[in-house]
Amino acid sequence: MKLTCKQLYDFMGDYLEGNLPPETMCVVKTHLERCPCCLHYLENYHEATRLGIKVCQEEEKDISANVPEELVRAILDARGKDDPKP
Amino acid sequence: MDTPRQPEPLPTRWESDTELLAALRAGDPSAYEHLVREYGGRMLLVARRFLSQEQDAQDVVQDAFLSAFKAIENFEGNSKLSTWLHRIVVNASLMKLRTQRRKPERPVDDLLPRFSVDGHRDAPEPAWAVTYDTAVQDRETRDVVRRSIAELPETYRTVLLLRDIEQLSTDETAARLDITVPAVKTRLHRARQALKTLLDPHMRQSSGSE
Repeated sequence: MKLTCKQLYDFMGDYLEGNLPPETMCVVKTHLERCPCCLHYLENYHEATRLGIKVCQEEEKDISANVPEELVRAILDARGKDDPKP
Repeated sequence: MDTPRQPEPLPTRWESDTELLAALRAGDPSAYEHLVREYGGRMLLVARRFLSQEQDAQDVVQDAFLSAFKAIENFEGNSKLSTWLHRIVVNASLMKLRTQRRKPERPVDDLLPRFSVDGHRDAPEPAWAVTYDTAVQDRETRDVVRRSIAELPETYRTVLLLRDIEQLSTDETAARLDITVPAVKTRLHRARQALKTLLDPHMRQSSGSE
């Protein structure tokens, strides 16, 4: 079994997660060893995914007090109208 | 839009979620204010990822807090309050997306790689100049990553947020969005490819700015 670059791109997500059958994993690996273009694409794709996750995770750690005052007031006012025990 | 912000957090009177929860259940207004100030910023940030309009994101946060207030009696404490609130704001964001009229999106095909007729790439693919470790330390790169996620077409961004950022399973993502498992896989792959394309110009040339 041989893969074109186009076919390999379709397998990338499953390849990175180890979700391909062993034979297909092997074929992808062989292609990557011989094709720097696909190898670089896979590495960049993987890095883009990891960066997205990391940046969002870190962002959430940093933001504890960053909420517009008018939104705070709107929420608390709305609660006051809703709640029978203010 | 600039909005006034609360610069100083309230002093924390509650040492743990359990104490805060007890105060909330007793109807202590200062406990509610603390909850909103403590978690509102993070919830707004999560809502903004799903919704491109600031007002929609703020509406979702308000709806999420009001839902949480109503459900506080039933919160069993099996997870942290922050995790519970996070889940509520994600649900509220998805609900908002479902009720919005879908706007025309940028075609994702513009952000996907192209191939020649024999199945080879039509352009060279250089390795990125910026390594992962350098990128995560660099504020400008982090901003580019955030902007690039926001720039993804909504259909694809939503799947990427649920699968990669919220870490839902493929099955759960499919159920939440009422789409098939293969559709989740295809959209996730395309979303990651599109994100990579959007990051290319910065990651190929930059050497970090911090």
